[in-house]
Amino acid sequence: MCSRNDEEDGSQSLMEGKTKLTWTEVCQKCSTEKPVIQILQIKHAYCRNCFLAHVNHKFRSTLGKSKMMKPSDVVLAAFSGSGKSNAMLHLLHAGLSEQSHKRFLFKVQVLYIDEGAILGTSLEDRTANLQAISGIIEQYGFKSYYTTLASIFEETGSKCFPLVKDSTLKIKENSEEELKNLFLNVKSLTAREDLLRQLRRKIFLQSAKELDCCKVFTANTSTDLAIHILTDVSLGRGSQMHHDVSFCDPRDASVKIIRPLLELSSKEVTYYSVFHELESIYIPSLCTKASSDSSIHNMSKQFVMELMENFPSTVSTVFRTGEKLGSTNTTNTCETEDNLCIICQMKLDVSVAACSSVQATDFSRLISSLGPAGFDNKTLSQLPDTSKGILSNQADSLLCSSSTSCCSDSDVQCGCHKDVQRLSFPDVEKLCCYGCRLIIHDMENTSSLPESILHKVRTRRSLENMRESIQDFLL
Amino acid sequence: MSQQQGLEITLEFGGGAELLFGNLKKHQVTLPACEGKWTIRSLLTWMKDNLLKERPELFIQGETVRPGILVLVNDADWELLGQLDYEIEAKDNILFISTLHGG
Ligand SMILES: [Zn+2]
Ligand SMILES: [Zn+2]
Repeated sequence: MCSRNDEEDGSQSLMEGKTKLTWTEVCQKCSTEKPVIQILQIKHAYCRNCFLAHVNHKFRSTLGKSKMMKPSDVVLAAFSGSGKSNAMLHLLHAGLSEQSHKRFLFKVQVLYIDEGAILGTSLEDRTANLQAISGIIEQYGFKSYYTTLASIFEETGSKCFPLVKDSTLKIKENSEEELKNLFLNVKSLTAREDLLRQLRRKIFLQSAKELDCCKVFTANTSTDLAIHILTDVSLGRGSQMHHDVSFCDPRDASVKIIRPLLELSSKEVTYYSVFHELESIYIPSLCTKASSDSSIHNMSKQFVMELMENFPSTVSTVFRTGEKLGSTNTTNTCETEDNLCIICQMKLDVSVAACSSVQATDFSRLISSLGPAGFDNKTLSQLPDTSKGILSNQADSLLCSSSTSCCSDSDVQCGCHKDVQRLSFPDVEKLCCYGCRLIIHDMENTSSLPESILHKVRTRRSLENMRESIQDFLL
Repeated sequence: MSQQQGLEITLEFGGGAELLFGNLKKHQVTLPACEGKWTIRSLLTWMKDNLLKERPELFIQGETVRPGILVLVNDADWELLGQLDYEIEAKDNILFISTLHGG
């Protein structure tokens, strides 16, 4: 942006606002039809047919140039009922019905995730949504499945169910309760939205594995991703932003999350769905009817939407920048599980530098919680064990001696010589990246986390204990 | 030119914007006769007073729609039609569609 506006003499002019362009009477592509949409990224007014061809072309070229799609692939397309995700199904369907050489060769299945539990939606409404969703997918003839957000709490058994015309929502009361507790446990909307995003990602991966799909398609547009970039930066997820906003999220070894709409804006995709008269079902989520300052995600959304309105070309600048900001040491390909965040699978980078912002945050949390008179030279060695503010090392040594109570409601054998212990905040936080720690910090207690996550904490802790106890023998 | 009879138009909502209008996606309305022409600008004021059921700030910001809500007049982008200054005609179909819902 800046370089484009640099004057020859080195002075900079102010960023250009939206200019009222005088439009020709005809489409700038075919020069015959009346234009019906203004596409700002390319400063063109297109007629309906040229516009639809443009969207279709963008979608195909995004997939094509990635060179990632193989004919044997089975893709799991995430469908939320929104116009945007319906547009994605429509584009996929169009690609699969093309003539010979242009036809997509991969197969498509569709997944709908029921999130009604966290909003307290009634079972009738959730079932009605489910059936409406199945009605839409049916038109395309894709094989479809549904799962619930609560399935993240289930240990065994199948979690995805075929979605057919008269499907009724199968829910398991206790996992629903656990899910509700988890969200009640998290105080701020910012942390709840972030948690929901991480859980959704887990559900995508878990379902894709169950259904033998190697790729998940999500309907995020460039506008959505620009919002994610600003949210990620604000939430301390800068180092993983690259994975959150680029074409492919490679964090999981066997399932890749692909964003085939990332070269199209929300406006383009929405117009596509309007022109094709695609049906959409609005299913409320956490941010529904929330005001724009209610969470970091909503504020980023408001900010990007206002940019879009007043300085449209800057949005793609935000997006392009974020896409390029991959740091060299964030590729996980050769990492072992041991080194990854238990929630988002990001490489743990939180114990590296001596003066990292993680430590600064922890330290300032500790000082703030003590108040002006509370801090003296004994503070660090006297960390109360109720204090969630951790200065990792001190707190850890304290907890080793104080947390001997048995975790009676757990029958998981951790394999260590001690009894299974209740997991403390530091235990869990140690295994989380900076961004996920902020979610944990916002929780009342850690026991409401899904068992799959807690299990990882226990295993990795007992491994560590074992390593410690045999350390003296390893010389 | 003043309009003697009311102006009959169709208002449609999508992408979640309908939640603010009694969860109804389609409204047939008759705008009362007024001095001069109805524009989208005056329509928005009228909607705020007569149609919006709750939380006006989620739909209207200043004198225009909240950023992120697209406006289409007879299936065409209002940005090509003069936006707030577009003069509404009888039987027009005006669609307000929110893009604020995530993927
Ligand atoms: Zn054309
Ligand atoms: Zn994480």
